[in-house]
Amino acid sequence: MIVVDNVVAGYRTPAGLVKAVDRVSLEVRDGEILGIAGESGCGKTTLLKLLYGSFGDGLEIFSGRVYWRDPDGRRTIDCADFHRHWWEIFSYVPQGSMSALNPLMRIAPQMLDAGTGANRADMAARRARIARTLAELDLPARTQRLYPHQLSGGMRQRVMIGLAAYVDPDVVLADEPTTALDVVVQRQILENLVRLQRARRNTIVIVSHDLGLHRQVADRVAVLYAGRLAEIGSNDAVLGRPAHPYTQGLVDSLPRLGDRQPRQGIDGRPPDFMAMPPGCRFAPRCRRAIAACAGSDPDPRPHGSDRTAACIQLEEVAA
Amino acid sequence: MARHARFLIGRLAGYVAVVLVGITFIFIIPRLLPVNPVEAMLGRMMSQGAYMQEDQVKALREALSDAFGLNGTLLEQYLGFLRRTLLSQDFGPSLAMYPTPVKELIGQALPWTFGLLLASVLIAWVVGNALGLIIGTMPDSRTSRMLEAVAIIFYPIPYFILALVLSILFSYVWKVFPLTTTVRGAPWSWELVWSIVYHSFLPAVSIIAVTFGWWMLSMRALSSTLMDEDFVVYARLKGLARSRVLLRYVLPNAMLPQVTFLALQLGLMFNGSIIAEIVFSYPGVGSLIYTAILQGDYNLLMGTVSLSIVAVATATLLVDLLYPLLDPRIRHR
Repeated sequence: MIVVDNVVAGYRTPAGLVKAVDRVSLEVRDGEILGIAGESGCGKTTLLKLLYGSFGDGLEIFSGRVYWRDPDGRRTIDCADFHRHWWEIFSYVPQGSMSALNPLMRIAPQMLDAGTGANRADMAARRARIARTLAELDLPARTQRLYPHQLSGGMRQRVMIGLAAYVDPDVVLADEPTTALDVVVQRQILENLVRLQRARRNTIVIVSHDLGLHRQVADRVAVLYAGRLAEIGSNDAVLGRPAHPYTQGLVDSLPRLGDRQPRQGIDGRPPDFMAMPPGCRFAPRCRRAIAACAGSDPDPRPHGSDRTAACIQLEEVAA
Repeated sequence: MARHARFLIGRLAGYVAVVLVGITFIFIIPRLLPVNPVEAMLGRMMSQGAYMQEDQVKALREALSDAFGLNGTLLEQYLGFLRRTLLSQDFGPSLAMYPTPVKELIGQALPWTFGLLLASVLIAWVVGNALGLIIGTMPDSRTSRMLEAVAIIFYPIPYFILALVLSILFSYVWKVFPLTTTVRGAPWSWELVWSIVYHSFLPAVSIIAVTFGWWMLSMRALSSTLMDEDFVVYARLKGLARSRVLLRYVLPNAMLPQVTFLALQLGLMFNGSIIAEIVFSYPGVGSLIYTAILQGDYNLLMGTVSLSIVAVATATLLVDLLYPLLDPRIRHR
């Protein structure tokens, strides 16, 4: 389980602190698929970096804590040390995986070439696992000896998933894993991802702006807005019966089979991190906003049994 | 296999074609000049006071025309020229250093030029690329800024100015290095090796100084772009050590264009070394070309220019053959 405990994190810039993740608390539970949704620039990717412990680009935790706890609750690791356990406890599926493979290296060495010092032992066992994982992903055995340019887009994407999964990590973090792929390939990828997850019972966190993807695979969904957690809960609750007006807006903007009414989007765009509106950050774009919204920036609170949401008017929405 | 054979045959055919076209130009151009080298030479002999009988002049004219390959129809001359140049590298006797054959002069000069160029261009290439990789992948460190400044200072200096300055500073003002090249020592002795290194040092340094900056700046651009490539970012997110990311992900990808330019440079430097060899009185092919031009030595000029055509074409061929080994995307096309 990864625990995010009231975290403020972001970047120092000459213009001041950019809090890309602001007072966010959530848990990534063992064995679940958690979807993180929101528009571009809402802090999704920053949150994923925190969950992966990737601080190479100047990301900083200003307050709060992110840590991992093993299922028995005996061992905890702070996110500053996550990188020592990459490709052991944590692994990562990058965005834009069409170009995430080195064009001059064959597949097998690229898959082996992961993890830091201590957990890179036992290459023979790793090789066997690579062969097994590629077979599970319906990739021919010779894939290992090929170069990336000899694979189709879908094959490359499956290689990326295999790369993240073959060491059997506890948590796989995926950043927009299916962006830039056609829908047929997207579906295959998701099916593969879910199949591997069901077989190994590991945890998956998927960041995507694609609500359809989350609806299809996620057990729970978290929605971020302007660095704040707007809503988190079960797939059915959050995407089936949204409680937060922002989630509502996102869901309403999606096309639905057989529904011929024009879709409604959310007007405007997310606020600039350097110029946040006072009170609720979504209020300026919110259709249900009232005068009190500008005076309060609510934390998520329970609404029904399987979700929490951050809105002062939750009582008016059926749980 | 068939694909490899086709690739090889294609490149080799291209090579032969380039050399043939080049040699043909060398054959044609002197024949377009309004000067008849035989008459010019006879005239020079006469003006120097040599007195000859009519039939002696005629015999000499015959002999010289034969030596220049000017007898027979144009086609016969051309075929004869091709046969002599390509098969036996025979360009006739040098006129300036008569009667030493051009082939012998080039044979003496070639190791000098080849050694100097190969060593200095390779050193500049290795050093420039290594430093470029460092400053490209850690642009914010103080070392990087300093190295970059050095490269930017050296890179735009015209070569002849740098060569002259080095020569004046270290051979005239501060007599550390010799003004001319005279090596001594028995063949294959340390004394000889030391003597060669000592005499080649300044020209080599001058060539390295003007070329390494370019390698460094282009490698910096290549590697800093590569640092933002998805597969490099991902390699770091895989937890790999920095050195491993640089050596296995950044460097091989950055090397592809650098290898191409290396071969082209080796070829071009062959001509560029003329200035170095003149300034430092270095006994290489460049000095020969200079002499040939100054003294109107057609045979020597044709010989040296043919050599440089073959050098450029061979360098390009080598890269073409080397490239598939470096880039699988070309190998499998």
